[in-house]
Amino acid sequence: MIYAILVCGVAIISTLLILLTKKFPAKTSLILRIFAYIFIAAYVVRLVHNDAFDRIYGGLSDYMSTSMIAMMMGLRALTMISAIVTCIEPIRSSKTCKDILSLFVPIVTILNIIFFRQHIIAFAGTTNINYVSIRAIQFAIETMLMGGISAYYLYGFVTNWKERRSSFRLGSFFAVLGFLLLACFPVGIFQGLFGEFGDEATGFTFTHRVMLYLTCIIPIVIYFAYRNKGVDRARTMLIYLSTACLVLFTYTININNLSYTNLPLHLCNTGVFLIFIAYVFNVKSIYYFTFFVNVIGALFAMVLPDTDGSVFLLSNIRFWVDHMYVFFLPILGMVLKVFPRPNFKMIRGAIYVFSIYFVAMIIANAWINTFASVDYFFLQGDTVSKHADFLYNWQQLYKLSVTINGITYTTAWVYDIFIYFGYILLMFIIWIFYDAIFKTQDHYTRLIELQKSDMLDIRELRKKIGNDITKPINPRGKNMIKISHFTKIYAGSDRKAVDDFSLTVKAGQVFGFIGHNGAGKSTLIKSLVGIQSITSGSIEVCGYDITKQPLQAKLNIGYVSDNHAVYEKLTGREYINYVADLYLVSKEDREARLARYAKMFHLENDLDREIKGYSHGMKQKLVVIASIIHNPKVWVLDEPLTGLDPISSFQIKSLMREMADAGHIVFFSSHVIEVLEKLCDRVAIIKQGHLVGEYTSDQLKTKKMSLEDIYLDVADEAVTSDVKNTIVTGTTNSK
Amino acid sequence: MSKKVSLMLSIVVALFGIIFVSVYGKLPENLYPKIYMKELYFQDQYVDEVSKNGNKIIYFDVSQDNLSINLYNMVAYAPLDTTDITISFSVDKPEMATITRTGMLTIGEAQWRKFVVIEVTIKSMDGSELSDKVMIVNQNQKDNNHEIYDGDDWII
Amino acid sequence: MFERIKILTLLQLGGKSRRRAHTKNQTIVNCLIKALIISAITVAIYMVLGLIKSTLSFPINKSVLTFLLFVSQYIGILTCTVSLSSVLYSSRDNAILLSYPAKPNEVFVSKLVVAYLGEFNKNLYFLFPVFFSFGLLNGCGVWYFISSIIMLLFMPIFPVFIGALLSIPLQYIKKLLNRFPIAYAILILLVVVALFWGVAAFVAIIPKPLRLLAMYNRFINGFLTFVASANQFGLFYNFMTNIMYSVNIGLNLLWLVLIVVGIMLLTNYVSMPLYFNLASRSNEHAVKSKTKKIKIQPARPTLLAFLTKEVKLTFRNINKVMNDYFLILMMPVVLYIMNVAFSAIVVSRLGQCMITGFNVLVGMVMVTACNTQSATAITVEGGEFVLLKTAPSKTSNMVWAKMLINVAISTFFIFASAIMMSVSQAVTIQHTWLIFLTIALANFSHILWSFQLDITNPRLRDYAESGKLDGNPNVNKSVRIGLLIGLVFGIFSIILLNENMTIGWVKIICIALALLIFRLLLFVKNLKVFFKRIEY
Repeated sequence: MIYAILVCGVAIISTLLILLTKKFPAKTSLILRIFAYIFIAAYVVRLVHNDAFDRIYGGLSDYMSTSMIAMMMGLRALTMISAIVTCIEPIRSSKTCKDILSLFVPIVTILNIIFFRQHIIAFAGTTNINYVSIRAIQFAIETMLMGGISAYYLYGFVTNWKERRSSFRLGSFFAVLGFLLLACFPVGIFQGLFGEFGDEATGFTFTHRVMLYLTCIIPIVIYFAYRNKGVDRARTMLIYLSTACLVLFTYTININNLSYTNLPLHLCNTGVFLIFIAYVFNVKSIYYFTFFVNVIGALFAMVLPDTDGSVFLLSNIRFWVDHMYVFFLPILGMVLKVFPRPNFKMIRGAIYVFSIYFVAMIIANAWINTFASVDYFFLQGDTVSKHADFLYNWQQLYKLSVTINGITYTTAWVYDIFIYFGYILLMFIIWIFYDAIFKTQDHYTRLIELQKSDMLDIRELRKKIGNDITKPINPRGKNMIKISHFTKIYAGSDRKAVDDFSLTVKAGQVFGFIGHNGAGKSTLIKSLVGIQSITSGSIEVCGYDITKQPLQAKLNIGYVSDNHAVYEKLTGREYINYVADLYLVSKEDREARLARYAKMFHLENDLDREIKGYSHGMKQKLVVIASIIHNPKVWVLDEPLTGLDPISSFQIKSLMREMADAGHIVFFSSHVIEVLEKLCDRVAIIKQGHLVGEYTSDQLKTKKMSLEDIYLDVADEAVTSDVKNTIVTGTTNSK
Repeated sequence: MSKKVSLMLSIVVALFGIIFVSVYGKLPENLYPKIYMKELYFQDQYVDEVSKNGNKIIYFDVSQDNLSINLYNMVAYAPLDTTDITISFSVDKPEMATITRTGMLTIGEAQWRKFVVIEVTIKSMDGSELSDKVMIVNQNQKDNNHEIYDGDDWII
Repeated sequence: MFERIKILTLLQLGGKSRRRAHTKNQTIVNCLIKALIISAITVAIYMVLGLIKSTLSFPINKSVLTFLLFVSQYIGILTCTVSLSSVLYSSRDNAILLSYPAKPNEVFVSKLVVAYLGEFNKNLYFLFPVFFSFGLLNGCGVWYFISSIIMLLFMPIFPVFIGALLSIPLQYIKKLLNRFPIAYAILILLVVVALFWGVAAFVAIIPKPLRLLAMYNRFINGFLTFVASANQFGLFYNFMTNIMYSVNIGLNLLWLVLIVVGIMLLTNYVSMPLYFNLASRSNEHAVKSKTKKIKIQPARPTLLAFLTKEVKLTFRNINKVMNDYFLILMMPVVLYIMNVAFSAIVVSRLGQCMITGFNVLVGMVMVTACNTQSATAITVEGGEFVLLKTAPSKTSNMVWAKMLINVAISTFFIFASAIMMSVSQAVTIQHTWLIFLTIALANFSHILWSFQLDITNPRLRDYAESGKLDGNPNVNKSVRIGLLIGLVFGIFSIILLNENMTIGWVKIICIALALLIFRLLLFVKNLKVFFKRIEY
């Protein structure tokens, strides 16, 4: 019953809002504010109540299970966010908060309705609840108002779907939501990051966690601050930081008090000096040692710290800060490009230096332990070995002792070998990890650059043609294809597949294109229809730039590819439907055109069979039908007659002629010179990416030249002067 | 990595998980519910007599040299299929008789002067155990004073 | 004839390998690297087996070696049969090879040689290290090591030739199933019934309570008894291990040679003559399928158009779909069996957390291995991607359509697995659904991540030319990422739940949700920037 009341309440309020705003559209803002004020008033009634839920500690209560407590805590946080947005958005609107009110708050309302009973139990502190209590009524009103207002905004979102969808920013949505969660639910953050349900975490203490979180956050902040400042400034910053690290470390050292037992020989101690030397004196080998070796050591030291004391003691804070520096200073040097990325040679160098260090520590431990107790690099004690029984056993059982001048030097050789190779293995593992990070960094750097370039393109386009970017960039070119200085270089190649190609094709023409294998015909066609990018130059189709206004340009293009690929498991009709959907063809148009072309190509009886069972010619014809189902102004065909029988070939040629006569542009490439000669109004010859000749059919007839002779001569290196004199060209780009 | 490799990996991880949980995730031994043996005894068909103190007595003709008796065949117990069990035999006077690992009791004639007490013990892997005893007595002492059978030495 | 066979073999091997021609030095270096890898594998297997023998008291002897050998080889025979049936009869290169001036028999032999070399290569990386390790651990003499190398040469003969023989009836069975879909349906039903029966039987033998340590000796003895009885079915692999362990070398060698010769003769007189007949028949595609006439639809939004197409293609390629989602079909079964075993163990609190962790890990491994669909969703468009490049619509919506299919199928099977888990009662119902939620959220993130891999690195041309996804780097990367996510969530589950069960679950779900949101944001960014830059 109560749920029905709540749902009805939400429906009534939202309907009321919709009706009011429709009746008084000019007063929409005022109406929304009034409802927001009513909501605030209902919310304020909370102030006269103490909820039992606020007194729960340690996740335990006698009226609610622990899991339900956790659930209610989460829901509370979300309800707080929803309430804030519901209050503020109608009064002071912002795009992202509007989206939150439209999409997020309705979900929270639904959850509040579902868990309404649990809410009342949480308020009352007993399972014996009364829905007619003040608090229950207040919460019901609050929920209905929040639900009604958010439902109204959701209605607005749905009715203006297109506009709202295009302005929706997913990143901002979650960022604002996250920010509001932090702002109004700090207790959850602390419990999540530092504690467990009312108590501070015991194993992983507060100090420990804070230090680890800071170790992750500080380098990220420094990276973002310095990533665009240049390598020199980054190096200067790192020199300062490494010096600060060294000063902090050596601040309390008194050389007179140094003994064999407190030499700075631990890995991270030496790391402090080595990082300083690496940055100040720009020593690569030392840098890579710190990058591969010290970073891991510092990480382990921080995860398994050797100190548990307060950070307000110099010795303790020194431990943490020194290890933090040793951890992130080498990493910053890499990401800020102060040092180049490592390769195998560098890790090999690091291994050599590590080997020297390791052997030195074995000797130091063996020697010093004959008269004092030390544990450099934790090879002597059980700091590491206590974590695994087998390691401890190896350390105790397998010892190598050497007696020199009556003094016995001992080392646990099996344990030492294990640690040595284990550390080297870790270095390689971390190299793989670093490699993955570098690749990710490169990828996202490129992503950001491309994003910026896209935004720049749109801005330039807007500058050129105004805010409506669906207008043609070249209104005078609406009945032509215009290719201007088009050049294409494929990635990973120096060779220009097409070089400085310019061409204009007007409506009402069948334009043919011929060239040797690898001349650049397909490259040109693919760039023309938008399959491939353009390296330089421009291509306009019906006044639209194919790069800057691709959707508008492609709407005017029908394309028959050279590979005739189709979805073989679809029927012919399904395939045509699918293509027609992509080209936004209306039902009536596609019915009429499909019937016509199917009859023309004798495909009526095969349209409802799977394409898998079609012959090559049938597939080809189907692709042709699909390419003109939207009656494009420009019809581009890449070797359309390959492998067709004479009848099919004739049908397609007839259609091409028909389209051209109807005022369309037909642009096709072929290897069959006779077809080009008979069918085309103009023919171009491309050779090694250059346009070497352009001929009209009239000119050929007048001069009584065959296209074959011209082609063979043009294709041949040595062009005779007689042939040159008889060639009548439009535009010649021969080089 | 092919699908087959992924399937094998999943199965290996699942098996590893079962082993890992049963080794490191099981309840500590002191909290583990004990599974006790229900019974263990030397079978009645082999026992000749039970003395008034409740000792089971088996008479043997020890005139033959190196008599061997298969003790395993004589013992019965309620089997457990949820844990490994070990059965062991012991003799109170090892100088008089030997028992092999396979449960064969060997008594040399020259050594046969007194009776021997054989004890069988079953232990399960969770530490519970049961035991039973039997006295093996020379057959020609059957008509002797019953006091003998109560644990006294021979009266020669 | 041998010259032609050699050329045909080299041609096929060259087609498989992407490497260019090597100089002599490069070849030597390659061989050395290969030897190094095999040595490393041998050392690793030796250490593992040594550990098993010394720490776990597990027997590493001739009986176990025979068992391992024949089980792996029988699986090899099965897989070889299936692969040979497509390589011999329906491979694309048949059209080229059969048109060469070589007899069909020579083409047949060359294909078997290629298959032999493939099997030999596989055995080199697996069987050789196993043989070597067994020999070292058992202190075998020189003859063992020499004979194991000889056996390695014999070993591939069996799967290849038996596969060639069995591929013939397999072809006929395939054609029968194609012609009569009802027979295919019946076969699937039988397989499902057999699977259920198998699972029920297997689950019934799990003892309650399951106390592996307490029953270890019993388990070892049982295993050894099983191995001894199973080895009766080892057939010629028994001869091989007898030879290696110097048991009646002469007699066993004779038997082996006779069997090899017999199989080769059978292949020569049975498979080879039928080869050309079967291979040429496979090239004909005149299959008429009846389809209902559909009405012309009004223009649909692009997302709906893509979704309709994808759903149609999914249902019409059901074989391919089942093959692609094979692992996820097995997921409820594997999780059920695992959880029945877990429910038989009396666990501590840590054990309960471990059970959850392993459920998450195994579930993620299986479900993410099937997300390779998303990692190749754009690649499999192949030549058809041209249509998407030329269409004047928001064709990036095809990505969402494909993703929806993947999400729907995987979520359904995760749900089914959750049901099976709740039946097994290893975890509480509450935790079962939390595990379901965790896996579903993490899986969705993985799908987004896999898709992103394909958007940034599609292999359209490779797929258009070969029709295969072999060597597609996105597939391996997707599986590795899935493993990593599974491992992270599995370990996190154990640690966080052990700290505090309730707040631990909250943290796990929050982490899964955060990962999902993060991947979604990155995916949308990548889609906006890179999709339109994909070139064919």
